[in-house]
Amino acid sequence: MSGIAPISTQLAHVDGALDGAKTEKVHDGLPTFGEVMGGVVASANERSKFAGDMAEAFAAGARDDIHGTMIALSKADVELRFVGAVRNKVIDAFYELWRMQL
Amino acid sequence: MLGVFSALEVAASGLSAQRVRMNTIASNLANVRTTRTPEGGPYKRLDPVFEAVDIERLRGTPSLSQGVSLVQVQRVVEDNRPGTLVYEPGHPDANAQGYVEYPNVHAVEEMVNMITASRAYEAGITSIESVKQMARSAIEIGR
Repeated sequence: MSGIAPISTQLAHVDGALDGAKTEKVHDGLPTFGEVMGGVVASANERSKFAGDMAEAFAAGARDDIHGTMIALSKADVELRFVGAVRNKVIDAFYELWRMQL
Repeated sequence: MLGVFSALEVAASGLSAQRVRMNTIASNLANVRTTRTPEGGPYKRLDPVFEAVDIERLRGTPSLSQGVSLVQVQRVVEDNRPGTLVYEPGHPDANAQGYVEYPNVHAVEEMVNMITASRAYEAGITSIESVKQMARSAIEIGR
């Protein structure tokens, strides 16, 4: 009974050390994968929204720039494919780790 | 710095320029027999003047990509060649000698310009397709 308390305090120490490691990682100036992915997805989303607006304006007759509209759509398409490719790559890497024998 | 999509911008400027050219050709052909204009006299053939604009200078960021240029329509000028005189005394715009001055538009010349404009447009489309294909192939690397 008396031995349990010291273990829990030791665990608290370990937790503290882990927390320290975590904050240290966040503060090394590099963005986390989530941040990078979020930025890329936001940019792709922005571009496809812009392309959608352009296509809508074209359909409504507000603009007569066929090639500009199609180029905006192509850019959105390429960017979305890129995000998809990065996502697939990361998921592959994750499963590779998942299957690792310990 | 030039990004992946800069080539698309350059090609798009070319497409816009060729479209302006196509507009002037259509105008010239439509007015091949026009003898009255708000300025007086027959219609004068229109011709666009293109100008190369350095893409980096436009953005104000110097880099290695010097010489890569967008095309801009600087202005549309009137062709000042004399028109063709045709003897038509009954025409309301005939001069004292009975001659009517028709526009300096020559249908054959316009047709040739039209072919070059549409071929140049197609070339621009082809370069856009290639850039797109390159980007897609680059994404394929990860597969």
